[in-house]
Amino acid sequence: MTAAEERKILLVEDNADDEALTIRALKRNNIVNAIDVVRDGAEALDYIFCRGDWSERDPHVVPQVVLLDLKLPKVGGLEVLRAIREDEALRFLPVVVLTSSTEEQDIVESYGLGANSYIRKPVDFDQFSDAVRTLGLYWLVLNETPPK
Amino acid sequence: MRISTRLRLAALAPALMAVVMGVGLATSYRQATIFQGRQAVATQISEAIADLRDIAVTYAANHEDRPREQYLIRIDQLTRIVDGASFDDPEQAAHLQNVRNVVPELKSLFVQLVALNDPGGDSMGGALRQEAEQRLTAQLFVRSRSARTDAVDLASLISQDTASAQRSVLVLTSVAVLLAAAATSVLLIAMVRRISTSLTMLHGGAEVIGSGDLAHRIGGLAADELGELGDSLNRMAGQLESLTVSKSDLEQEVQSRREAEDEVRRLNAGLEERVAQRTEQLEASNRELEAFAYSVSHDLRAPLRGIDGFGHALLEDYGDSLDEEGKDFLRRIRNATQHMGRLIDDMLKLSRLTRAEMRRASVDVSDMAARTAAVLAEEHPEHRVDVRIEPGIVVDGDPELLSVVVENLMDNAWKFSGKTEDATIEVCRSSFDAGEQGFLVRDNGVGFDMAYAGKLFGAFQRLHRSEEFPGTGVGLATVQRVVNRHGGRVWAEAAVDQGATFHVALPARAPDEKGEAS
Repeated sequence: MTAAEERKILLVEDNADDEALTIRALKRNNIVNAIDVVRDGAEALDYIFCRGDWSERDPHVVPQVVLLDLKLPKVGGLEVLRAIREDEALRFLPVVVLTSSTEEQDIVESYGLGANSYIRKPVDFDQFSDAVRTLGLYWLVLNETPPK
Repeated sequence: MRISTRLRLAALAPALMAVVMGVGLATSYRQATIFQGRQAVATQISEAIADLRDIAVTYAANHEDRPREQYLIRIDQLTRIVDGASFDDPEQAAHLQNVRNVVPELKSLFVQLVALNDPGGDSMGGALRQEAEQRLTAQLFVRSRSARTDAVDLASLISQDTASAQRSVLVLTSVAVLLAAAATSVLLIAMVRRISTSLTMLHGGAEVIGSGDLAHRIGGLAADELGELGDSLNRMAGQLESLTVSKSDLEQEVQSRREAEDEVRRLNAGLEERVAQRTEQLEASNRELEAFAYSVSHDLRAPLRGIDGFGHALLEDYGDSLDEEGKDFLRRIRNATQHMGRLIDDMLKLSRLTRAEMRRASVDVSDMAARTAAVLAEEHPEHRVDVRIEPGIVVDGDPELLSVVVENLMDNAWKFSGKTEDATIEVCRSSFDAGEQGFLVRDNGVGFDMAYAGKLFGAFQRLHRSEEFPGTGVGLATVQRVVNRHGGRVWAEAAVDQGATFHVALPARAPDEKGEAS
């Protein structure tokens, strides 16, 4: 298992364009970590808890960071965040909320549920790219995860 | 004829009767006097004749001078009486004439008798003289009796005449009185009957009117006092009717007003309920609108991100395959996309400002303006502006919201003086009405035509083309919203190419949050 595979990024994003742009921004900023993409909240939970389509996933491989959209089909992003924080093994998993919303309520609730960061996706791709570069640098390179 | 006239006439009837009776009595009295006079004359004549006979007897017995003189005096008296008397009645006149005719004979016979006994005259022999004397005396007595008879008959006739005359006067008077009494009775009975009829009609009419039929009118009365009374009653009924009509009108009016008041009360109650309902609906629809604005602006950003992102990708990855024009098109697409993104962001910001909770504090406008100016100077180093800020401008309000106001006004001033040499921006304290505090932001930039001042504070309203001065047109709308939430006012003064001044006036002590319109 390569380091890139170990230090995976989980992208929870229902919008295919946003998914492509996010991956492009990551790649553009030389973030080569493997990226798993799930497209709704339910699938995100399946992935995290190795259920359903993701039941064959190795539960010991925990993503380095979760990029979580809030507005998701089936199960909302905040619900996913709550489930992660309620799990003993996953409560320190870095979760970066990456959304269109700047609603105060969304921001407050996200941090209240234990989000590590809250980033608003700008329309301008250059700004978006900058934001992705910054968060990649921080969460994938600088940040030290707690020892297992 | 009026009743009073009739009554007066009826009252006159006894007087008339009295007059008739008086006239009858007077006539009777006058006749009695006349007849008494005649009776007296007849009696005098009769007495005088009787006296003359007695005197003549006396004289014949002793031939004394005294009876002789008495006789002559008496005969003269009788002559005067007879000559002075006159009677209308022919029978009486005939008797009187007989007496008149006898009287001279009586005198003549007595004179002859006296002459027989005159001692100085030729004396006849005693027997002869006696015989002559007896003959003369006899003739005298015969004549005297005849005259006496006439006198008595005359007296008797006069007496009969008197009785007859008095009877006729009595009869006439009685008839006249009876006629007057009968006429009076007839008049009074007719009048009483008429009055009685009128009274019955009046009573009946008054009963009908009294029972409530005010439209009833009493008719058929004569043109007298009772007729007038009927007219008065009719007028009274008419007045009552009109009064009653107005009274019922009044009652109707009172009733309708009461109903109107009830209606007003009911409507008011309904209105309050409806106001509450509408307020709730309005609040609900405001919430919906905000949710809508939020979700629209939220969801609109995703496709914009796609357009911009893939435009960027196209430029970056396939830029070599495009000529300059193609690249320019892509850049224009990205510019437009980003502009739309800013519009959406501003809209969101505006919406958030409207909803955000207000905090109250002392706000140092001078400090805010200075920091904003520093940021602007850093962002636009190419544009040199002389910024003059009066220190110590402090107002009451929400610091976060007011900072949006100061930033927007400063940003505008900076932007619209961008093409002016020696650009100047002033921020000064400004006092307006009592109880207001405020400031103004003045620039010497391009200004605007005051004709368009009304559009100034509308969302997405712009007075300049975005090629000249970029912007979304939300800034001043935001300023106005914030000032409104503070219960203040904002207005502008400007002229083309002579700069613009924006005044912000806030209440010295901001009103309660509750009292504000959002």
